[in-house]
Parts: sequence; structure tokens; C-alpha cells
Amino acid sequence: MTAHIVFSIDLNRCINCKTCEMACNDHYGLMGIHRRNVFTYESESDEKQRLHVSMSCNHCLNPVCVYICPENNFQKRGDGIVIHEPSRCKGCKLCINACPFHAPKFNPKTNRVDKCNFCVERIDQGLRPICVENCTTGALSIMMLDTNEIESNSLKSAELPIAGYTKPSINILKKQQGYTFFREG
Amino acid sequence: MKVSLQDLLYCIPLYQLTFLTSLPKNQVYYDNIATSIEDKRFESPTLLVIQSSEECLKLNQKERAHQLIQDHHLMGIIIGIHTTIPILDEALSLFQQCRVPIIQVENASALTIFQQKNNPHYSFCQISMELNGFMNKGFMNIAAGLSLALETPFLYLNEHDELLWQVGPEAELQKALCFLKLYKKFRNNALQARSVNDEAHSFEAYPINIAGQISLTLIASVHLVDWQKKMIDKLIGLTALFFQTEEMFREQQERFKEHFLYDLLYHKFESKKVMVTQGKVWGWNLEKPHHLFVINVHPSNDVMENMEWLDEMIVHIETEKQELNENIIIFPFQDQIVMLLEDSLPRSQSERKGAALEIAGQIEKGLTSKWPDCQFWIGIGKWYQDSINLNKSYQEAKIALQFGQVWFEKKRIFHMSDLGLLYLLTHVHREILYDYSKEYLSSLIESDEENGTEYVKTLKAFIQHQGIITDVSEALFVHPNTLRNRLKKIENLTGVDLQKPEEFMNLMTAVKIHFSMSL
Repeated sequence: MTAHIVFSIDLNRCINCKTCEMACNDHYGLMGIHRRNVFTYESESDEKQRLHVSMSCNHCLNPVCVYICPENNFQKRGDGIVIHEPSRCKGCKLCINACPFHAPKFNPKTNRVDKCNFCVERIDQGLRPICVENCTTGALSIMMLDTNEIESNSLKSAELPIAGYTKPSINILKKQQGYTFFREG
Repeated sequence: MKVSLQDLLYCIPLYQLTFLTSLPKNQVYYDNIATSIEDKRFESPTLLVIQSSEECLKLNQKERAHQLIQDHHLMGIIIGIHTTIPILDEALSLFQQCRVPIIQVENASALTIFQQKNNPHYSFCQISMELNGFMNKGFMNIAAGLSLALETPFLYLNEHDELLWQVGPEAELQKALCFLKLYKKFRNNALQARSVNDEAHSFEAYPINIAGQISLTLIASVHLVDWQKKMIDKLIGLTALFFQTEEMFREQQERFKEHFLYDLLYHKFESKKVMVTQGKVWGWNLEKPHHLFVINVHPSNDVMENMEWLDEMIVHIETEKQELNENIIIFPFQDQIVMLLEDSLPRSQSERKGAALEIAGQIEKGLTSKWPDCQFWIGIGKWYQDSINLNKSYQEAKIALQFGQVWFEKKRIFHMSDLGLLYLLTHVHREILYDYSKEYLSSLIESDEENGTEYVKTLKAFIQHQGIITDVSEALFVHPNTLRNRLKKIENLTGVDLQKPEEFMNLMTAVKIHFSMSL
């Protein structure tokens, strides 16, 4: 069974600082769009608790963008990374509407679609993606995950209202309840 | 010190030698080399080295042949011709009877070795070339030749001492097979095995160690002298290297194939030409368009015990494919079976889909009858004229499987175009879909959560069974009147009249969205 490289998001550590968003924009010189966004949800079990999740392309196991693109511009590499070939993109925006995670964005400067490519050029050099490198709290990391595990990955248990039918290749570390320690005696 | 003919032959790569008659057991020595067949006899021990077809044809002449076999100074005949030798079988058997060794050496440059006076040694720097020649000529041909030269049968055994291949004279082979039976019986008892060797039979087992992992066995005569054993040792070494290289080559091929399959299903090739060329390596014709099937298997526990279950299923489909008389490419991929069905006939879209569904139906039926405890689902992607879009077809087949299994619970085969509305929904923003579904179903979901009323489930069954009350009530295990009552309440809660097609269609869409989002 093959293993794919995935983003691992620790809900306990994300503090909504958006450094990941900025680092990505800075690295790729993006203006007006973000490849990565930090979303905030209210926990379903505890309304007072707020969950911050840094999301970009989830490099799904069954990427909907691959079959929806009329130009067949999306490719999934052997290591699981979904990359977009912008040179043939005609900006039809079908992928933007179809992706349940809003990963592809329309870049008004190029009139083409743009999306997170897992910093493949850095990965190929043995480096970590720029967002992971700059995450100040260590909430974002990368790991190798077996495709069987991705297939059976239940994101609902992490209380995140995100779609599962494309089998997003991410690992979510669930928010833990805080512990209270009482002094003895 | 004189050098024997056998020692010289040892230094020539095995693949360049063709033994036309057997070699004498005793070492053969010579003083001179003659290059032509004259009318007179040789004056001293001579090796006859023939390099032309004309000279070679003289061996077929009875008188010349008799002259040669009667000449006790003729030590052997070397034929340095690359092409097929024009010697008659009759002449050869005559030389064989008189124990005159005749050897063909394919490479004329190797003939210089017979001029050497010093003791030659086998040069390991030629091992790569020797192995290459060994592989090209085939180890079976070489082993058969050596078996003739050394007058011993060869039996190749696998790790479990099962016979893989045998070569040699029939009578000797029968004796060797008798020995094999006893060898298997006593192989764990060295003493007994030795007595078997000594008393009853005349064979010996040589281990063929392949990369220290696999050990095959070669059985040959025990009555071999040192130079013959050296030849066998060389054969064993080259055989082990050959198998090791073959295994590495096979592993490498498998890795290449895995990469190709991945590229085919997930990655778009830079050009169709690249894809077609790579496909041809595996014997696949990807020039023509194909349907793509993904077969999802839910194996039973019994089947799971056998690690090879997926491969067995593929073999089963492969055998069925011959009956189907269709061009089918089949391979395992990520615990599923992927099948490509060639379809280049000019026909309408519905006919094309019908043909694909028919084949899928036959395959599903065959698999279910063979493995009744397992469940099989088949997803079929769209047919594309250009086979470079097979990666899209693969994703579609998987989507068809996912949505189909949720919505069409009783069906086993799902075509992407059967998803209809569900397919359309994948093109729309999730938020819009979510809001739409909520608008119609929120009151029903709330009631289900609070009172366990199962209104959404009832609606799903109502849609699946085209609103036929008896079918729906049977599917839900409720009385028809209970169902009517539920439907009335659903109408009240949603404000939708289920009898009005327009309103019903909106509610149906909301239900489909609800279930597709639950995935």
C-alpha cells in the first residue's frame, strides 16, 4: 500500500495568528488571494469553544478537480500531491465551484486558477512547505499517511463540518478537553 | 607444463561453446595445431582447428571421417565458424562413437587461446560479457550442451526439492529420477543420504545459492573428475547470477509498472504518444478509447485469510475475459481492481453505455457466483474518445461508486451518467447546496433528532421506490398505513405536496443533497 504526504493540523495549537497565510503569500508573491486560510468554527459539543483550522488544498485521494477540469490540468503525483498546471488554464472556474474546500482560487492578475501545490519544489529538495516552516505554534506539520488510513479517515470525529466524499488527505488532531488539577490536602 | 584442451575450454565463455560430441573424461593434450584436413595422418598429437565451411564439409566425407577417427594423433576438432555447421548427423554419431571431441566456438577471436603454451586462467573481467551471452543463449540451451559434453544428466530442483527442469539422455534421467525420490526421503539424514549415493545410485546434489536467499539444487553424476566439476561449478555460478539478475529485472519491471499505473490513473501524460508508447511496453494498446471500471470488493473473513485473494479474483476475470471476447486490461490498484475495456466501435452514447454495463454485469455475476460470501460493486467512469483522459474516468468511476453505494443501495453497478442529479451537484458550491437542503429538510431533521421519527430515511426510500407505497413500506418494514401517516406528517412539516411533481422534485433534490453531503 502506498503512502501519501499530507498536512497534519493540530486543533489544540492553532491560535489564528494567520502566519501560515502570510508566509505563503509572501513566498509566492500573491496579492488579493490566499492559498491558505484559517477558518474558525464553533465546536458542536461545546458552543463556547472555538476551533481554528488552517486549510488549503487537502490534496484529496479522490480529487474532484481532476475530473471536473475540461482541460485536464490537475495531476496527482505519486506522493499524493495534487498540482495544477496553470499554463493551459482557461479560467473557466469549474474547479473553484466544485471543490468542497475552495482550494482553487481565481487569480485576477493572471486570469487563471491558482492553488496550493504543497510547495512541491521545496518538497523535492527535502524541505518542508513554507506554511509549515513558518507556523509559530507547530499547529501545522506534514506526515506520511497510508492511503488506507486516508480512505477511512473520519473528519467528523474532529467536529469539523467539512465534506468527506473526496477523501481529503489531511490528518486532524482533535481538540482535547483541558484538565484541572487539584492540590492534595 | 602442458595445457589440456579441457582447461582451455574452461577459459572460453560458456555461451560461445557448442559441444557437438562429448568430451573425453581424461585430459587431452596436443603439441600442434592443424587448420586443414590433409590426405596424410598427423605426425604428433594435433588439434584440428577448422575455420572455413569447405574444410568443415570434408568431415561429411566417409573416407576423410574414417581417416580422422583412425588417426590416434587427432586429439580433437575445433570449429571456428559462427554460422550453423553443415555436418551430417551420421558423421557426428561416428565421431561420437570414436570419442573424438568436436566443439564449435562461435567467436573466432577466442581461437587464439588454443595457441597458448602457458597455463591460461579464467579471467573474471569477462564475467559481465559471459553473463550477457548466457542470458541471450538461454541457460537451458547451455545446460543441455554441457550435459552432452560431460555425459551427465542435469536435474534442477527448487527450494522444496521439487523438479523444475531436467536434461540428459533418457536412460540416465530415469536413474537420476530414482535417485531424486531417495534423495528427498533421506536428505535430512546425511549418513543415509551418503549411503544412497554410494550404494544404489551415482548422483550428487550441487547447491545453487542465489543472493544468499534462495537455494536451488542441481543434480548431476557423482563420477565426475575435477575438470568436469569445475565446468559444473561455472555453470552453477552463471545460473545463480542469471536468476539473481532476472529477479532484479522482474522487480524493477514491477516498480516501473506501478509507476505507469499511477501515472495512468492520477497523472496526465505530457502527450498521448508518451502514454501509448509506455503502454506498449506492457502489451497494452492505449491508442483506442476505453471504458474504465473500478471494482470494489468487500471480502468475507474466510477470503481475507488468503493473502492472494485480490490476485485470484483478477485471474478469474482474466479467464472469463477470454469467453467475453473483449479487449480487457485488468490490474489491482489500491486494494481495488481496475479494468479497462476497449471500445472503439462507432455507436451512440446509450449503446456504448449499455455495452459497458452488460460486460460489468457479467463480470459481477461471475465474481459473485465464484465468491458468494463476498460483495462486489462496480463503478464505471465516462467514456472518452481520447484515452489520455483515463485519469478523469478513474475519478468518475470512484465517485460513481461512492454516491451509488449510498443512493442506489440494492444496485451493484453504477455508471457515472446514472448519478444524474448527484453528478450535477458536485459542480455546485457546498454552501449553496447546504443552504438548499436545510431550507427543505431542517424541520424533518430536527424532528428525527428529537423524536426519532426517521422522516428523512422515509423520504429517501419513497424516492428510491418511485413512490410505490407497498414497496416503500416493505423496504422500511412498516405497515402501509404507518407509511401514509408519515408521509402526511412530512407534507405538513415541509409544506410540500408530494403529489405535485414540481414540488416533489425540489424535495427530492434536497434529500439527495443531504445524503451526498453525509459522505
